[in-house]
Amino acid sequence: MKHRLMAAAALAAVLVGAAGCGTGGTAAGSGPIDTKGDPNASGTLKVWLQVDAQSGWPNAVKAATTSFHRTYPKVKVQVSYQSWTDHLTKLDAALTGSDVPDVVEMGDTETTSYLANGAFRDLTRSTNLFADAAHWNTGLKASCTYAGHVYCVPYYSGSRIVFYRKDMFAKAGISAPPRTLNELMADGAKLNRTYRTDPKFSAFYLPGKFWYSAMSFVLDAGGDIATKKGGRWVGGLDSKAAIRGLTQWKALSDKLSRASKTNDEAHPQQYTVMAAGHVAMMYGLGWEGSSVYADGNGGNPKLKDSIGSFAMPSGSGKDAMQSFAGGSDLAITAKSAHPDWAAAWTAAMTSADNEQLLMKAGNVPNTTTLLKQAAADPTLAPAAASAKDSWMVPIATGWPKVEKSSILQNGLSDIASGKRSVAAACRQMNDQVEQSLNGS
Amino acid sequence: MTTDTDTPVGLDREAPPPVRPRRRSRLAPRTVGYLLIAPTVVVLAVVQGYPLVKLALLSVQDLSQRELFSGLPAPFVGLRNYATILGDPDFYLVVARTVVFTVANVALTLVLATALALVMRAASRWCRLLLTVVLVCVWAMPQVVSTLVFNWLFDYEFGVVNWLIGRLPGVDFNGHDWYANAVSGFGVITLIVVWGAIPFVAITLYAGLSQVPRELTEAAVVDGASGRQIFVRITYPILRPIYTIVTVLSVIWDFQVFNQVWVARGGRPEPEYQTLGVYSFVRAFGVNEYSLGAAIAVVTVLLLLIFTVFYIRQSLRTGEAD
Repeated sequence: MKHRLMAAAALAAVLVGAAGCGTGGTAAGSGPIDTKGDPNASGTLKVWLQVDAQSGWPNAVKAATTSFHRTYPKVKVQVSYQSWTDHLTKLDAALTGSDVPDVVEMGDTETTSYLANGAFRDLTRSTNLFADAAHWNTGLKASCTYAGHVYCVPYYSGSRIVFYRKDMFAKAGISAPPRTLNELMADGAKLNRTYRTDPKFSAFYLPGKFWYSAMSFVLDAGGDIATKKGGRWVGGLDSKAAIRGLTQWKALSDKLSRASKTNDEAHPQQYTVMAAGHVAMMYGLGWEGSSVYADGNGGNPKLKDSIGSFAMPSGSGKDAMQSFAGGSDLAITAKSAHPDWAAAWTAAMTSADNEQLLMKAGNVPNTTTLLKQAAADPTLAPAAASAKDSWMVPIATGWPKVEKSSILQNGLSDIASGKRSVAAACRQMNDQVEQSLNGS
Repeated sequence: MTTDTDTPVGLDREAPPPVRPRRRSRLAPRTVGYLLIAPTVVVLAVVQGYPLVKLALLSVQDLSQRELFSGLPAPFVGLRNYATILGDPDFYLVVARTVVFTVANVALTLVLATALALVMRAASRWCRLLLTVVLVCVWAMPQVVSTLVFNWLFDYEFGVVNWLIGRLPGVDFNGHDWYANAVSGFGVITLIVVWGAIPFVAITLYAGLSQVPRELTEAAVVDGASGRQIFVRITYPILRPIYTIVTVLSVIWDFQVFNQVWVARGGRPEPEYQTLGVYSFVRAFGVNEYSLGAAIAVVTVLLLLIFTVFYIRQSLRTGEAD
């Protein structure tokens, strides 16, 4: 009679049971990994990548597997795509058992607690296996390093720029992309007038839970999320600068966006909304621009020649607004039975050739060597430039908790919808962030 | 061999009259009974008892990610987790929200299902067949699937409900966000939950209705009773045991609601959407406070247990009075 009731109990209990059985899971070594290959090795290599790869650069995934099969021809590669919303919960559950994924993609803000808790294999003595490790992107490398040891491999980074509809700008009589936040607001007003008969029109699509965009406004106004002072994290979201930044953000949302205040930038994927044709600007990752006009995955091929990009203009006189240094790393789980296969696949996925494919898809590559090349490419230059001046979340073991409990998203949603004043929401977000970072 | 077959098991308030078989050569019937029930008890103990014991154990420990990944034993902390929960004002808010949600959903489910069951009894044969088929189809739909379908119907950007309402003259529902405030959001979630809960209750009640002797209602009609009087005075008292069971079951299901809230809010329910089931999961798996989540689950089980015992006793008492 109470079987539903038991379901939740069972779920929790199975996890614990599994944890109890998984003894000896930390026995994974930290010595160098040998990937010389084995023509007879057989089995399955399990790889967890995020959906971005599925829609943005499936060719790179395919190329990595092909290359991997040159050294391990009989090992089956099983790539499963995860969504950002729940992949950490799934990973936690998987890591308690023995049937674990071998390679997992981690967002660069999510790694700290996993590195600290021994979830991944120590790769400090195996970095030579991976391409150009001496020139790894510093931000990504920092997200892979804990107490002097390296636990993952930089995969790619992505910074956000504004994608706009050139045809809509022309129709509204705007000749050049805006250079300041004020110009952007003025251009948006012009677009609103031109398209006033379209009830779905957003001059700038900005969903209420898009926290990467909002934090860029905070940083641009001179605020920060939190800083470490004398061993304690002190929140900065209730500062005057942060409130000023978020007030600008709210003005942009109020005046130029008809996006839902309770959605984020990935639900629905904002490029699919832009592809539907009622959006003039969006603040997206490098690869999202080409996804707008991709054939398939919700893209609209008709827009192929009408998408342009520019760096998000600053509201405080800088060249551009700082973008979040988003990015991903590839880690090998400590419990993986085949770290050699996992390392070989990871090396193939992050090889210089493969990173070129990722660059073509609009990403910022994982090494400074390649970043220089990207800066020379006109289509990648805005993204490469914004990657140089970017912000990062506090490197604290408590940070994943801030993301998992959606503290910022929920606070920002309240600001965007007007449910609470900017100052009140800032105060609450700040308290919750401090609590999470300093631990209970 | 036995004589006590008239009172249904579980509903008799007195102990059954002791059976005294004349010959004692065979196993006592009591022993046979235990033997027969043993396999069920063993299966229940393994499948449901073990996890429950584990859950209770987890709630007095402090399990973190480190122990989870490494398999190290978690330290015991006694009742600290319970103290944390019961000292947290958010918890009482969540309980209150869950109770309101449950009452609203159970009441709606029972009323609508009763109406449907009465329609089914009155309807012609093909109509009844059609209704049954539809109900079974709804029943067979997995919760996650139905919630996703409703999500699309009520979608902000592309939803058909907003479009349809917008067709009404003078109404602009373009870009209406159903989840913008929790009352309208829970309205949609209630729709999903009640929609999925009606089939079981309606079919069960219809089965009960078909057992109500026709002579009784016919006699009442002859005596000049109205339809309402017949339902209140005759049909409902006969169906009371069934109502007790479906009410208890519905309360348990709705009190534990998880899938619909979780999927409707895209796996990230805002604080104002957290009912007990969701709250427990978010604490346990969202922010990796597994033991706190377990303690919340234990408290939930206890709350339900208290309700169930109280409610069943109460309805048996009213049964006696008649």
